[in-house]
Amino acid sequence: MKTHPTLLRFLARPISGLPTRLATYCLLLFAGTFLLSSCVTEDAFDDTQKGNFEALWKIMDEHYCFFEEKGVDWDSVHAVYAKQVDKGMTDSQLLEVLGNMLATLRDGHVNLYASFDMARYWGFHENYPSNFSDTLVNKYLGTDYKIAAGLRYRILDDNIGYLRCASFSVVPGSGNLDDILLYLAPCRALIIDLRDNGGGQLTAAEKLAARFTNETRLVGYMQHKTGRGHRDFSSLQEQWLKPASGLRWQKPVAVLTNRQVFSAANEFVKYMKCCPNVVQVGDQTGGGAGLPFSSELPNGWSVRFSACPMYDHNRKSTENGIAPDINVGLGDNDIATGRDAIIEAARKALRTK
Amino acid sequence: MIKRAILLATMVGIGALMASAQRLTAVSVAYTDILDTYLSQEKFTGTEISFLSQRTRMSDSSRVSRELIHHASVTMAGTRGNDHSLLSALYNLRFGWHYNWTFPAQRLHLRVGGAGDLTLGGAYDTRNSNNPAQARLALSVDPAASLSWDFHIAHRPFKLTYAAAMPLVGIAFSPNYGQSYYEIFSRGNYDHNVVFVSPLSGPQLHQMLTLDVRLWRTTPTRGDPGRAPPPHHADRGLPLRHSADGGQRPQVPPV
Repeated sequence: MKTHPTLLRFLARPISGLPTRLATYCLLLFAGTFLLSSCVTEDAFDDTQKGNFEALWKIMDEHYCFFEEKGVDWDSVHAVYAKQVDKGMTDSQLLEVLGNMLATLRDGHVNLYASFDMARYWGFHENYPSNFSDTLVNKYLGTDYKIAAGLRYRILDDNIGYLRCASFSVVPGSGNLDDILLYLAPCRALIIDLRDNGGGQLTAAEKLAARFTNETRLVGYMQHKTGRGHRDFSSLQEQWLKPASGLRWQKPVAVLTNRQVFSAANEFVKYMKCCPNVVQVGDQTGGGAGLPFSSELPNGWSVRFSACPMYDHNRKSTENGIAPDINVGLGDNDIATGRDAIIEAARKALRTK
Repeated sequence: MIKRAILLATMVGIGALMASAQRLTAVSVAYTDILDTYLSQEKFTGTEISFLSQRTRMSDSSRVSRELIHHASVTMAGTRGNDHSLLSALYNLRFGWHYNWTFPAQRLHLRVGGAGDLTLGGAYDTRNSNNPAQARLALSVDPAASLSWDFHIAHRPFKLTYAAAMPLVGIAFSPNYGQSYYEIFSRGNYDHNVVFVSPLSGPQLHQMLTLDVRLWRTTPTRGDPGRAPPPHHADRGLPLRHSADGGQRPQVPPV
């Protein structure tokens, strides 16, 4: 850019006097900063098959939180899957390769979303018996059950309350929980059927769990990444469960779980196991102890990944699930007999408490 | 890294020049360019609509002028793959003083001083789960300077002005690298969320280049206001909602 002669003459003049000198230097400093501001950039990947692969690998490399815990060498993964990416691939083929790369993390919170499909790893429940049947649950609930804030509930014939909680996507209102617990108050015990609850909002899980403690309890720890390194984490921060100010349950509780109890539902189980008079019945939970973040690739596909790891009160990770106190599964004849072995095991355990 | 590239605007406004006061009120439509890796690795580009109000006062017996700037803007932007996926709103207030020098021979006017600088606002990514937004809250002290050049074309007076302010020292709110808003606001887990801001930790620069044309008693102004980059540290941000399972895609089976 050509500088105007007038400006050149001004700049060439002898600088006299401190104020004038300072003013001139300030102006030059600003001009220098203006030039430096154009240096603020980030690696930009091409919107090609190779560019999208590299972008995804880098996002995970810098933000994913479970490399160390899962023993995954991400550089080695790059070496394996980079060879499989070719510029002639279709989008469907690219999604398959990228999905396979992400599946090495064995994490249900890791997904890649294209407009036509979603890459996922669901081995945490697909490799195990479901231990849940809608048909059987409907036999226990009948048709005259009550519903509040998405929670279905009734009193079983042995005076045990049954609360079906299929999701934490909605945060129940305090009034909803007061009314539910008031209705179930005459019961000798309560079953919370959490099976197939894939998560939702942590605040919903906390709000429900807060009805089962009379004192503030240490229920776990949480941390977050503080840098791009695989070991760059903050210190563990305590998770405290505070008792709800409304109606609180004082009797025995059984929480029913299977492998599809994941994410916020997994957290709920973690909280409940710190509360008194609680027994976990069924199969191990599916885990999902990393609060997920999102980002995107140059082609617009969204990626979700575990970002903030959570631990139980013993500082042990619950990423791979929480084992039950009473391990029981559905039997081959349960559908035929209309008898849910997990519910029945819970009823039996509660009757002896 | 969170950065915001230079914002270029085509600004049309009306300025009024008086012996002791100068006023500039402008509405601008700008091309905006945002890189915020807390929200996305992709750069957002789009349109920004902003309102700028600048008031400068100086008494005849003093060489010190006083300036008040309000700058509010709303942005809609998107990435290469996802249009209109970012909404942003910002308000910037600067209140400062300048010492004025005039160089009649060169028809130049130089102002150098300082300003208090307050920025409020945020950006919302419509696609994200637990990191959907970035808050902007910063307070700083800025050295500021401007240089004006008066010239004539076809006997008509013009004034070309370049003004800049650079936050030198201040504080800003900022979540840590991978910290979620859930940890900050629901759990109260703070991790250096009020950070010291300096040109080394978070370089910023407010800039404005204007051309004034005197028409009767008012001065239509055309210019390019710029701002680069935002008052935030690298890889930090503020998500506004939280869930343990991404809620933006309800069709996805529960995981």
